[in-house]
Amino acid sequence: MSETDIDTLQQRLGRVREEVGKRIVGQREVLERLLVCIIADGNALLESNPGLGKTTMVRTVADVTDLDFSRIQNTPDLMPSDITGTEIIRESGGNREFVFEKGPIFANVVLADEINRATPKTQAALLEAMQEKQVTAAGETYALPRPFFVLATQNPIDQEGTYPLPEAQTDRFLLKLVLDYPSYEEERDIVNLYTGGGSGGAAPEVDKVLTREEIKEIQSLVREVPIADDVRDRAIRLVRATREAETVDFGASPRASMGLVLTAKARAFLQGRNHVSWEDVEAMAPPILRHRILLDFRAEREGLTTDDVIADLVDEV
Amino acid sequence: MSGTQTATATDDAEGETDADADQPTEARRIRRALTEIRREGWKVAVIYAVVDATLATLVVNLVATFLGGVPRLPTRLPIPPAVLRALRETAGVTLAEPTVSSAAVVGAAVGLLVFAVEVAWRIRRPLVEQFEAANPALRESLRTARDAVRTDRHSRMARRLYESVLDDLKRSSSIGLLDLRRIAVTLVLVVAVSFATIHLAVADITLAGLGDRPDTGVQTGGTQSDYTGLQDGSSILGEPEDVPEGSENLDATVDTSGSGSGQGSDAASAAAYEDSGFSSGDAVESQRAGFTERERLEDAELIREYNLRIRQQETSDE
Repeated sequence: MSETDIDTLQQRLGRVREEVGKRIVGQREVLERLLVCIIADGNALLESNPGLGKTTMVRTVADVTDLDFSRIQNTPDLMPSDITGTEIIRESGGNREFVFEKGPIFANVVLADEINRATPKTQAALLEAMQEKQVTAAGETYALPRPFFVLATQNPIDQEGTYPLPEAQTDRFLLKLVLDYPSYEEERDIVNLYTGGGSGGAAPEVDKVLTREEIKEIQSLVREVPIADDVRDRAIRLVRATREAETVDFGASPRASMGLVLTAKARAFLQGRNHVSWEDVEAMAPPILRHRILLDFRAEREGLTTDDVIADLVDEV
Repeated sequence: MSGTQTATATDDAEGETDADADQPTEARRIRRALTEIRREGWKVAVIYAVVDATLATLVVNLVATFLGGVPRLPTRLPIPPAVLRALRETAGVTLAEPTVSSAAVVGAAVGLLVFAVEVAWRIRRPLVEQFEAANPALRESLRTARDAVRTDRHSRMARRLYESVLDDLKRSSSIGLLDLRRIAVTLVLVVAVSFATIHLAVADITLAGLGDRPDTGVQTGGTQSDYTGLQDGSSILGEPEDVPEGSENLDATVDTSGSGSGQGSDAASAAAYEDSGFSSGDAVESQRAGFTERERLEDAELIREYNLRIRQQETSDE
């Protein structure tokens, strides 16, 4: 791939943001991190209240990137096979044979809504598939399509009848994104966009600007982005600091170190740079670490959030 | 101070080593640029050190001259014969006075010390990092490229980074390593101290008493003067004491006849002189008092005889 092609890919990523911006008002930071997660070949856990447009955002990303999209609404009675697929008996020409019917997880972009409502067994099946990038059924292994990206959502306010993800499971998500309510001006624009007469209430049209092959190429290039030794070492020290901080009861794993460096590279690429800066690490530290650390009870008593603690650690290292 | 630009623009084939030959062109050029950056850092360190050492030399020389010399050292020190010989053989210079001011020697020594310490102090921090600090716009990219070259990363993105850094280096300059204001202030001080030194030397102003009073001769050993003459008059004359008043009174008479400088009138003296003529007796001693050399006394006697004869001849003619 020539340098001109790399420039083109970086420009197209910029176009993706522009196209998504046609449908999503505000949420620039979440969108950026969502794209970082995709080009870093990771998966994201999205925490938000209902009605904030997370489905629209993910669907729009799939639309502008020529990716298949599927949505799984998790419920307590959802079975693992409902997600991964199941074998069914199919009759053809008088013969009966077992045929594997692929589940909704066989898509490039999977939105697993309210993942904490599924039973632990179903959660485990989903997360295993997410981690292994393959599904095994009846002794057969089926590779998931590439690129593969899972966006699982959690509702932070309605906890009754839920099965919170254990720490070991959340660690498998590269990022945890927090979608907050829009500002007044943004909410007004959202209302105008979707209630105006021009579009008839339908979502605005977007162009496909990035193919799945190009996304795979970008994922390969992201890993080649050089990072200075001192920046890398500082990122590692930051993750290790979570294990030694007094306010943290349970720190982040080495997987967090890898994720932090990788997403910093992805962010640098997304911004058209050829190297990682400390600014990239700082920006990616909260979404990388916030679901991987458990605060000490004293920190919680003082009203500290994980983001507060991470910000302090970033300043310290 | 635009060596960095020169380095990035140099031909790739120049100065290539076997290890470099295995690397992509961009990586080799980055290595060469880093070498050039380090060279620029050395230049800057030397510039600072030279300027500061010059100022230190002049200040020490000025202070030592003002104090009248360097304590425990003579004013002038002999130049070693080997140096004189070397000067004569290499430059054909023969010094009329083979000595040098001790103030200048001490000043030069302090200057050399300042130079060495400052160079060491300025290169203690890696020179490339100093360049990065002076050019914050390319600090992170240059550092990343440096690490990438060191670990032989030649990926597509690494090559792209090298190209980007080389382009940035063409637009950068190592002039930022120099604090021009500080250099200018130091140079102004150098000029001011130089003028003060010249003025001090011309006016011969010294602060007597603060430094040891130097002797004027060249000494090769010892710090005390060799003079062993009269140093304390009291030790020879003894302690002053009252002289006792005498009790015996004596009368003394001085014959003033014939004497030119006696107590008589000028007319009487002249008559006595004319009547008695020149005599070699004691009465003439006072006449002789005005002369110290024998020849002149004889001349005076001869002139007197001539005068008397001329006057007698004039009287007889009348």
